[in-house]
Amino acid sequence: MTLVTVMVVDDSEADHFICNHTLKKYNPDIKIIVAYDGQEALDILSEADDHPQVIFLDINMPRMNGHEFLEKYTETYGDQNGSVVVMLTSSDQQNDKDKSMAHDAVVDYFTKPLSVAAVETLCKENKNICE
Amino acid sequence: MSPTTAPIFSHSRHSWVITIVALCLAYTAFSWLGYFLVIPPGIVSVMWPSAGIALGFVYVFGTRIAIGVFLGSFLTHALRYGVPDSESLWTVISIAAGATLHATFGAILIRKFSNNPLHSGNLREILIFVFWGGIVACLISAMIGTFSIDRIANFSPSDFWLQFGTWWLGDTLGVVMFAPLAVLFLTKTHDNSLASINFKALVIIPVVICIVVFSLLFDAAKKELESHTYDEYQRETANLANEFSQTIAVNITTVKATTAFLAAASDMTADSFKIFTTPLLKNSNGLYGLSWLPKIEKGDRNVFTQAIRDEGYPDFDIQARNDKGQLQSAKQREVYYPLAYTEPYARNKSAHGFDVYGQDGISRDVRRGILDLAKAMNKPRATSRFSIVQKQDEYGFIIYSPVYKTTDTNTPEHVGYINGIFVYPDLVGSLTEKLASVGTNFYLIEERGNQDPLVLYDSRTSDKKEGPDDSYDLEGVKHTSHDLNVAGQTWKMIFTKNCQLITGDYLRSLWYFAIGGSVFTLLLFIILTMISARNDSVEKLVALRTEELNRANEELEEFAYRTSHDLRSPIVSSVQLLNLADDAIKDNETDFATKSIAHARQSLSKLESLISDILTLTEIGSQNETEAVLDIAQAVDEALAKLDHADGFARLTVIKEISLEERVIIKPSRFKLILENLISNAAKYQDPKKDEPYLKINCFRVGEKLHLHVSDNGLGIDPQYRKQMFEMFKRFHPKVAIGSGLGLYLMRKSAHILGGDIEYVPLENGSLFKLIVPVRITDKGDAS
Repeated sequence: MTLVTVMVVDDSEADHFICNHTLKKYNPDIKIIVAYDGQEALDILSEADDHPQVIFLDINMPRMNGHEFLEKYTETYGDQNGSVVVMLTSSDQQNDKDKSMAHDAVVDYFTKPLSVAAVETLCKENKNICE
Repeated sequence: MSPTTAPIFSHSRHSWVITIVALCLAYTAFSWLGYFLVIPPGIVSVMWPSAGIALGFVYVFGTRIAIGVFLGSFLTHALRYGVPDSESLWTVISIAAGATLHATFGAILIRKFSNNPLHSGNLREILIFVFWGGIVACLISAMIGTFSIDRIANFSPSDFWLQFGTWWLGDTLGVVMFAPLAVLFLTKTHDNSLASINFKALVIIPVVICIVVFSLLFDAAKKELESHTYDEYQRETANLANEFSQTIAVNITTVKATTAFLAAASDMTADSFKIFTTPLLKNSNGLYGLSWLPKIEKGDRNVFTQAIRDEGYPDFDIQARNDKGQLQSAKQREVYYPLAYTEPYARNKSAHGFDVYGQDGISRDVRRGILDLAKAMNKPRATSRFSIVQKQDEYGFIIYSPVYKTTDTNTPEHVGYINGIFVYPDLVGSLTEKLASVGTNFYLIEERGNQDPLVLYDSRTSDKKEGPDDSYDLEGVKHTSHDLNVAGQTWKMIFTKNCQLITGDYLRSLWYFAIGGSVFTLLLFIILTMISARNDSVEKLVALRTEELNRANEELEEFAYRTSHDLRSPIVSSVQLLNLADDAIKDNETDFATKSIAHARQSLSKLESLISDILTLTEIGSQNETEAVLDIAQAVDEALAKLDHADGFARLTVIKEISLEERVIIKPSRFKLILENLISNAAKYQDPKKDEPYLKINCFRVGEKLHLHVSDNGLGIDPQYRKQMFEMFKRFHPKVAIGSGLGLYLMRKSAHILGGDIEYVPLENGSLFKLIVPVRITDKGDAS
């Protein structure tokens, strides 16, 4: 019951470093796909054969932010049983939370930094996504 | 410059026809109001509203609908006076053409001289409208109209100018009162139709009420003055009639007195008749002659004739007319009534001896009937109108008064007649002198039962026998009539007003009333438009300010949100990274610790740059920088030097093209902020794939505008993001550089503060930013 492939969408190199460290701690064999903004994430997803189990998504990013990504993602993959999205952001504003959780694909909302415990809880609560 | 007066409906081909028809009908409809405002007897209208309506239409819809004015004018005349015949056709056409030219030139002149729509509430615009469209342009319609009427009426010079002035004033007042209203009604005053209706209603309803009240008051004043003047006229003509009937009475009394004298005299001679009648004749008006007509039996003819001849009239004979109307010695008859004595003899000589009872001649029946009647009634009786022997060129009449003598047997015996001869022009002579002061024509007719009345005298043809051909139909003519009984004949005196009933001060007061009404209406229009426009601009200003405030508020919210997030995010990351480094050091993993610390440093330096941008932004909003002299070339060099150490700057080839020798006056730190940001962006967003990245700075001046063009062959900005590139916190190049997303926002804001703007021009390979701001130039070498 672990996560095998995830995607981290964030514009900050520092956050990529932290996520990488935390997720490797959770599962050393985990495959991490990295994207620096919503547009890049969509580009990667459109070319990938298999989608990651979870997409960790930041909100504030250049070009295409998290909300815009969710719009496009739902538009493109809404009816497919693909990845679930977990918001990973430093914003704890209710407005952001509500706006994100309104999308079916979004299953949880984490505030940074990402912790191993949070990932384990996520897996427990969403058994269908973890192998 | 043309005022922005959009018509209430669009300019499709179809609607042109509708507009022309509407104009034609409106012109005709408003002409009835013009006819309502005429001053009796109904030629002159104090105001011609159609002129204003026509000008309003042509001003709003353009000169191509002016044909509607022509049709409207033509239709108006046709409806009022019937379809013109070939004679009046040209007059009607010229009048219509005059009206059309007025509307056309009026509209052109107004558009030439005015800058704003009429409903902007600008006093100057309304006065320009009234001056060019009314006072000036109405000269055209008045001149053409007066000339075309003159062709038929042949005015005297003073009448011509009076007619011209009246026409001009009427058209001008029509424009003053109706044109602004028509323009407002026909113009789209707002985009929003409800606001437009409110705006119009606020002006149009009170003005229309004002016009209606004015028209009713004008009509009431006119009727009041008219009835007043008519009463006066009636009084004056009654006086004239009274005077005339007294003249008649005096004359009849004279005839009667002579009759009594004859009846009383025992023996009558020509001398005694002359002595008696001369003072009477002298004192009477219109009595042409008095004659004694004794009754002469057949057998007494020769004795009588001889007696008269003996009295000094050797050629005397009893005469009668033959079939050809010539006088000759009377044929043998049973009884004669010849003019034995007649005074004044000189002018009645031709009738001396004429037998009035003769059975020949053309007027015998008239005479004999009256003679018999007078005799039977023993009263003076007047004849009808006929040509008298003594004065063939004028009409006259005779009063025969029977003379009865009382004989010994006490039975009055008819011995002859006194014959009073009257000529109408003499009779009415004193009357006609007074007609002019009353302003009336006068004619005298004799009623003849069922037959047409006979015209005895007509002041229009004065003394000539040939009466006027035109009828005496008095329908619609102001007149008074007075009946008169003249020795058995019924006469009628008719006075017809030969000029306007309302004249002089009364007429002037009506004109002043019309002018006052128009000016008042115009002022009301101006005041209401000003109030409405003011209300309107206040509402618009409030809406604009509210929108600005909302936008600023949204921006502020966005700013607060973004700063709270963007400030917090690197701190959260740094704390976590330092925790990781701490753990790593404990586990002796030096490499990992070093990496963590490096990331933390990067996050914190990102934070530092953000804080610095935020500070700049707050300064922009609060500082009110004063202008100073700036050497642009020097500023460029300084900016380049300042950014020399920045990442990637070393790779750039810098090309400077500063064709600006003089120094400019500008807010220096704003300008420097833009310059530095543009240079640092070129460095940050250069294309790493290109071998020769460059930065080109081009600065020059066009007139009062300073152009700063900064171009590069860098990454550029994707078309989809260009719309939001100058917004707050927008970044378009993840991974490439760490920016706050405030740079371009700050530049545009600064450009606005400098009074100009900055725009982005995508190049085939790279970007071009154009800053254009107004500047002032100092004298060369000014070192201040």
